[in-house]
Amino acid sequence: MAKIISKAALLGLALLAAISYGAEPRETVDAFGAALVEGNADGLRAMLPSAGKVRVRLVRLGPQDGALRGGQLHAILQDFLERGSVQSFKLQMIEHSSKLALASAELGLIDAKGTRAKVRLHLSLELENDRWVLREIRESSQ
Amino acid sequence: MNPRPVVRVVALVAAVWLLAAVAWFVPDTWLDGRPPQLQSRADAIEIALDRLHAEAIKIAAAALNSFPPPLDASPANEILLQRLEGIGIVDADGAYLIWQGSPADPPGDFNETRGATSWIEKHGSVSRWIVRAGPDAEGWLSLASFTLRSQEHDGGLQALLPQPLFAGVDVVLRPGAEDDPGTVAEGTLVRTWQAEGRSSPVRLHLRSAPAGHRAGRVRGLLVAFAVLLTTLAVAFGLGWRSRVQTNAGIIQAVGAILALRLLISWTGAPQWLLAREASSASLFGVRDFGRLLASPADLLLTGLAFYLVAVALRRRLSTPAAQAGASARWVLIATSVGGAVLVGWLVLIVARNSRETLFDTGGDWTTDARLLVAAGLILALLGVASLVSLLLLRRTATDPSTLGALLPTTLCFSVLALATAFALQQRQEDAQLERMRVDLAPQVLEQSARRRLALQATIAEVQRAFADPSAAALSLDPAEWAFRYWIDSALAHGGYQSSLDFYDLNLQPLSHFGYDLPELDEDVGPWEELPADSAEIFVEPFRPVPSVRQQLLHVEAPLTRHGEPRGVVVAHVLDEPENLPFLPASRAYLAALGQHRDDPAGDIHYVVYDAQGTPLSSTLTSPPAETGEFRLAALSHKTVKFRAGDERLIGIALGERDRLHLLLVEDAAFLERLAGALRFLLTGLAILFVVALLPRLLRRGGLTLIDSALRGSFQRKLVAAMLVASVVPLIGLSLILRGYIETHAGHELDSSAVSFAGAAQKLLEDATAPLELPGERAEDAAASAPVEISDSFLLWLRRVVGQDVHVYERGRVVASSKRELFDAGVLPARLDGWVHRQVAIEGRPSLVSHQLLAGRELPVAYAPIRSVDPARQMIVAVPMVRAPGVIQREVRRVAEIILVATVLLAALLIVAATYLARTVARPLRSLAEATAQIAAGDYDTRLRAETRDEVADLVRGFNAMARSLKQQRTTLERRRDYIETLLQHATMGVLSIDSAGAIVTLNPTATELLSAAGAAVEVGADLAVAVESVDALAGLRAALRDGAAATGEPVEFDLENDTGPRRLRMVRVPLPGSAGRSVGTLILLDDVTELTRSNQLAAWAEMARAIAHEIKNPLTPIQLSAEHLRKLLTDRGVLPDDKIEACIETVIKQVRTLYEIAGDFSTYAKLPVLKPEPHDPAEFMRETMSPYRSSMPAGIELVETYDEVPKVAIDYRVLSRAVVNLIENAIQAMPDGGRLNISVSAPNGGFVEIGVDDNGVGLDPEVKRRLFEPYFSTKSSGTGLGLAIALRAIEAHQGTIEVDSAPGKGTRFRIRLPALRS
Repeated sequence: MAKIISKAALLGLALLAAISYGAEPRETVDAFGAALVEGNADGLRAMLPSAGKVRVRLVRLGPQDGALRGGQLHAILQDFLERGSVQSFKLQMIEHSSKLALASAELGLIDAKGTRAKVRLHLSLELENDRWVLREIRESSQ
Repeated sequence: MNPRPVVRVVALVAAVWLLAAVAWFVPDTWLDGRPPQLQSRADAIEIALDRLHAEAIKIAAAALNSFPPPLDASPANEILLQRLEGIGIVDADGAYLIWQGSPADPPGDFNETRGATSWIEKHGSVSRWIVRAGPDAEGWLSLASFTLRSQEHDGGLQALLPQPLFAGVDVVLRPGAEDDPGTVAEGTLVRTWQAEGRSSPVRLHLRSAPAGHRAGRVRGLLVAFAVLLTTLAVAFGLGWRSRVQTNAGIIQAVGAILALRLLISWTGAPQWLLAREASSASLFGVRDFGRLLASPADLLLTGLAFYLVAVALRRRLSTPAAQAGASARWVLIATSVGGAVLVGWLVLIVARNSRETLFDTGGDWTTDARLLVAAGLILALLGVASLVSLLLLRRTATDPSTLGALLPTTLCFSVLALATAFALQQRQEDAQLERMRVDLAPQVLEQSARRRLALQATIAEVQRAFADPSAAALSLDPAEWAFRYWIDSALAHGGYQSSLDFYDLNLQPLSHFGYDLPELDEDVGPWEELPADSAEIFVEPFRPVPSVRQQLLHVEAPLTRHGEPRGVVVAHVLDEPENLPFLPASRAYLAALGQHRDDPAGDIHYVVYDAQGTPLSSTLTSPPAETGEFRLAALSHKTVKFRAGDERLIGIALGERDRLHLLLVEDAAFLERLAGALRFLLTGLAILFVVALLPRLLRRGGLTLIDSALRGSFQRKLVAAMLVASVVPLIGLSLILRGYIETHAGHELDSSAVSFAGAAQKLLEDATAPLELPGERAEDAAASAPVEISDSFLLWLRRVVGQDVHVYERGRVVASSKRELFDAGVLPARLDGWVHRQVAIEGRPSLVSHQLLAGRELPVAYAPIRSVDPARQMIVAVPMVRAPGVIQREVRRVAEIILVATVLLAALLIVAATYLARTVARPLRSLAEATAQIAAGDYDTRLRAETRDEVADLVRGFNAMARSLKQQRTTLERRRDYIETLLQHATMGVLSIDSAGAIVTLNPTATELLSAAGAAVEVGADLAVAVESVDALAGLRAALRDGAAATGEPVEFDLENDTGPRRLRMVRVPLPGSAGRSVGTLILLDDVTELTRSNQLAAWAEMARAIAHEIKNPLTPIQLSAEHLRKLLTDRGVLPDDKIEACIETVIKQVRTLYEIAGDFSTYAKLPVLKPEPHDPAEFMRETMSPYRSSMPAGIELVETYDEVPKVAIDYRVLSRAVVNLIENAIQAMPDGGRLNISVSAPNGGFVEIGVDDNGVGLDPEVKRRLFEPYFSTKSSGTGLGLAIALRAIEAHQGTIEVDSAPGKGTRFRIRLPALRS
C-alpha cells in the first residue's frame, strides 16, 4: 500500500512538474526523475525538444551514444523501462543560467540484464519556447 | 497441405501459446529458479581467483627463465594473455632491464617482500593487475601487468573469471580491504580475498539478483517464440499463393499480414529475439505508432508487411479475370498512389528519427543495423514498385508471373530507390543545418556563459562530493582526485579545455589534471579569502607559449566535510573561441579520456571574425575572407555555401555585435551523394533478388528454369557471357584498386608520420645540443645553453610541428604535449619494448608503429634524439592524430568515385551488352524465323541485310539458298506432278512397297485392278496382308512369292474380277537405296488380257486364212472332177443312175459347203478393205431389215424403232453382213417365238447406237464371255465365225459392240458407231 501511495505521489509530482514547465529547470529535472522511477515513458515526452537533437551517452540506460531526435530518445528510454527499472532518482546538483541548466543526479536501477547498478546522470537543459527541454544526457558510473 | 501436418502445426502453436499464457500467471519465483547459495558461490569465486592468480604468476615467472618468455595460450591463461599489457625484468631498484609490450611501472613496495605477489592499481581511467615473480639467483624480478579496466577493456577483475560464477548473483569485486561507508546494501555477503603470500586484497560483495527479472525474460521469450511459430505457420502453412487469387483470399491474406504485424508489435517479440542494436531505437525508432516503427527490426517488419500486402494485391490484380476488368485498373492506381504516399511519409519519419549516420555517404551502412533500416525502406519501395509496374505490364500485356515481368519492377524500384536516397540525403543535410541552428548556435553565441556555468557546476559538484558523508571521495588516493573529479565534471562532459587542481589545508598541491591545459604555477588562497558558499569566477591571462595571449576563467573554492575544512579545489577553463566542445580538434583525445564527442554529422568547422572581418580563430587552414556576404546571411538566416581549398562547405552564419561566427560542415559533392544513392540502390537490388528471384531459384526446377531460359535464347546467353566477361573483372578491378588506394594511403600516412617525427627530432636535437661558438662570451653561452625537455617545451614544439610530441628516456615518458593522456592512464608511460629496442638499441633512424587510441589505430612515428647522452636512450614519438581523418576522407572520396564509376560502368556494360547481343541475335533470330517459314513451305521468304558485315554475308547466303531451294522445289514439284500424271494415266498398274511391305505408291490403274478383285489396297496398307485373304488374287500371291519375279522377270497370272478372268503381267523391280540396301520394291501390273486376245485373234485369223487357202485349192479340182465325172458317166450312159447321181451331187454339194466354209475363214482372216460412206443409220437398218419384214418366222414379232440420228460412215455391205449375223442369231435364239426389237438411237451426240434385242433363251455367262471368240459356237452346224466376223467388222468401223444377256432373259446387242459431225 505504501508503495502504491509513494508511486502515486511521484506521479502527482511528475504531473505537477509537467504543468509548471518553464518555472524552474529543477522542476523539469524532478519531473524527469519521477517519470523514470514511475516507469512512465510518456511522461518524458514533455521535456524532449521539438527541434534539434539531444546529445546522448547512455550505458546502463541505453546503451546509446549519439545525437538523437526527441522521439528517438523517448523510444530508447521506453525500451529501457520495459525491460529494466529505475529504483531511485536523487538530484545531486543543479546550476543554471537564464537559458541553460546543468544538473547531475544519482540513479539506482536494474538494467535490462537484471543487474543492479548505481549510475550518475548528467543533464543539460535549455529553454525552448518557455519550457526547459533536455539537450544532453550523459551517464557515468559511480 | 495434408490435414495431419496442419493439425500438428496448429497443436504445436497452440501449445506454445498456452505455455506462454501459463507463464504469465505463475509466480515469479517459479520461473526465477532457486536463488543461488551466496556462501558456496563466494567460495567458488575465491577458488577461481586463486587459480587466476597462480596463472598470472606463472606468466610472470616464465620471463625469468627466458626472454622473451614463451607465452603459450591455454584455456587457463587465455583471458590473461588477452589482457597482458607487458612483461619485463627489473632490477632491485625497479628499473626495467628488458621488457616486452608496455608493462606498468613497479609499485612502490614491489621489492619489500620475497616470493610471488600481486597488486591491483588504479591510475587515471585504467586499473591494472601487476604480478611479480622472483627474485631469481641474480636478484632480478619479473613483472607482468594485466589490464582490468580501460577504454578497450571493461569488466574489471570480474571479466577475467568464468562467467557462470555470476549467474543469478550480483557480484562486485572491489580492490581494498575495507568498504566505503554506506556502500554495503542489506542482504549482501561480504568477503575479502587475498592470494597466498601477499597480494592486494579484494572485497567480494555478493547479493542475490533482483527477483522477477529472469521470470520476465522467460515470459518474454516464450511469447516471442509463440509469435515466431505463429508467423511461420501462417506464412508457410496456408498456401497464400493460390489463396490470393480470389477476393475472399486477398482479404484473408491482408488481414493475416496486418494481424501478424500488430501481434509482433504488441508483444515486442523482436526485443527478445534480436540483437539490441536491431531491436532498439538506437539507430532509428519512434514510439508514436506503437512498436510498428520502434526500431530497425520493427521498421523492417513493417516494410515487409507492406511489401507482402502489395505483392498479394498484385497477385490478385494479375489474375486473368482481374486483368480483364476495368475496376481492377482503378484499384491498382488507387493502391499504387496510396502506397507511394505511405512510403513517402515513412521516408520522412525515417529521415527525421534516425541518427545522422544512417545514410552517411561515407559509412559502411551495409554491415550493421542500418541495413535493417535500409531493408525496411527498400521493401516498402519494392511494394510500391510491384504495384506501379503492374500498370506497365497491363499496358504491354506481359504475363506478371514470368521472369520477364521483373524488369519493369526493377526499373520502377530503381527510380524510386534513387529518388528516396537523394531525398534522405537532402533530409540529412537539412538535419545538419537544423542542428547547427538549434543545438550549436547557442553554444557559440553563449559560449562564455556556458563555460562559466560548467565551471560553477564542476566546483559545486566537487564540493558536494566532499561534503557527502556516503561519497567515496576521501578513500581515493589524493593524487587521483583531480582526474577522478574532472572526468565526471561538467567541464569534461562539455569537452572544454580545462583543468582541476586540489590543494591541502596548507595550500600545497595534491593533485592536478588538465585537459589541454598545463599545470599553472599560481598561488591559491589565502584560505580565509575563499568564499564559503558560491565560488567567484576570475578572468586571468594565459600564455601557453610566449607568442600567444589567451585568457582563462579561474575559480577556487574550499572543500569541507562535516563542516571541517579539508582543502581547496581550483578549476580553470580556457575562455577562447576555439574552446568549443563540438570542434574536431580535441575529439580523439576526448574520446580517449572516455568523453566521446564524435559527431556523426561530420567534422564541424568554426570560423570567427572580428568587427573588421579579420579571422580571430578558425579550424580551417585557409578561412574565407569576410566580404559582407556572411553578415548578410546571418541577418537573413540563409545558408552559406563556399569552397575552401579542396573542401566544399555549407553552414550557417551567426552575427554578434562585434563578431561573426561561421559554423560549417563538409558539403557532400554530387558524386558522394550519387555513391550513397547507388549503394542504397544496389542493396535494394540485392534484396529484390532475394525476395523475388531467389525463391524461384530454390523452388524445384528453378535452376533448370533459369538454365533453360539462358540456353533457350542466344541473346540471353550472349548477354550473360558478355556480362561475366566484363562486369566481373570490372568489379574485381575496382576492389583491387580500392585496396591499393587504401594501402597506398596507409603508406602515405606512415611516410607523413616519419617526416613529422623527423622534423620534431631535428628541432629537439638542435634545442638540446650544447652550442659552442668560437669566442663566445660566458653570459652568451649561458643564454644559449641546451633546453631541458619538458612538457612546456613540447607544447611549443607541437605548435611548430602541428602534431603532439612525446619524449621517452630509457623507455619511459619524460615529457609530453599531452601529459593528461599519461596522467589518465590512456597512454602507457612505458614505451613498447620492441620499439625501444629497434630505435634506442639497434639504432633504427625511424620507425612507424600503430597505437590504439579510443578504439582508433593511429600511426606513431619514432626517432632517436642523438644530441643527448646516448645512455639516456631518448626517443621522440609523434602520433598522427589529425592526419588520419583527412586521409580517410580522401580515401573515402576516392572509394566513392570508384564505386560510382564501377556501378555506372557496369550499368553501361549491361546496356551495351544487351544492345550488342540484341544486334547480333536479331539477325540470327530473323534467320531462324525465316528458316522456319521456309520449312513451312514459304519459299518466297527473304531477309534484308541491314549491315555490311559478316551478318550481311550470312543474310545474302540465306537469300541465295532460299532462291535455290525454291527453284529446286519448283523442279521437284514439276517432276512430281509429271510422275503423278504418268502414274494417274498409266494403263499399267504401278505400286511400290517399302522394305516392310507397306504400300508407298499406288496409281489408279493398280487400285482398279486390285480393288476389282476384292482387295482393300491403299497407301500405307501392307500389300501382303491386303491380298492374303482374297481368293481372286491367288495368282498375285503366287507371283509375289515367285523368286523369278523379284529379279525383274515378268510373271503372268490370271485374276478374277467382275468382268471375268483377266490376264495380268507383273514385273517386280527392287528399289536400290543408299549403301546398297533395298528400300523397297516397284511392282508393275499390266493387264494383257486384250493383248493376249488380240494375239489369239491374229493367230486364228492366220490359221483361218491358211485353212481357207489349203481348203480352197483342192476344191476346184474336186468340183471339176465331180462335174467331169457326171459328164463322163452321162456320156458313157451310166447315168442317169440315181445312186451315182446322188453321190456326185453330194460331192458337189459338200464341195460347195467347203467353199462356203473356206469363204468364211477367208472373210474372217482377211477383212475387206472398207469403203465407208455416210449413211443414215435408220435408213441402213430399214433396208437391212426389209427382207425380214415379209419372211419373219412364225411366232416372232419384229419391232423397229428408229430415231433421228446423225449419219455414220460405214461400208454398207460389210456392216450389213455383221448386222444380219446378229439378227440371224436373235431369230435362232427364239425357236419358240418372241419379239425382236431393232432400234437406232443416239444416247449422246458422239455415238449412234444400233440395238438388236431378243427375248429368247439368253446366254449363260461362259457363253457370253466367249461369244465373240472365233470358232466358238453353241450350234451343231456353222463355223463359229459369224459373231467373230461381226465383231471385226464393227471394230473396223471404230465401233464397239456390247452384249447383255442372261439365261432365259434374252440377249441384247448394242453396236456403237461414231457419229459423223454435221
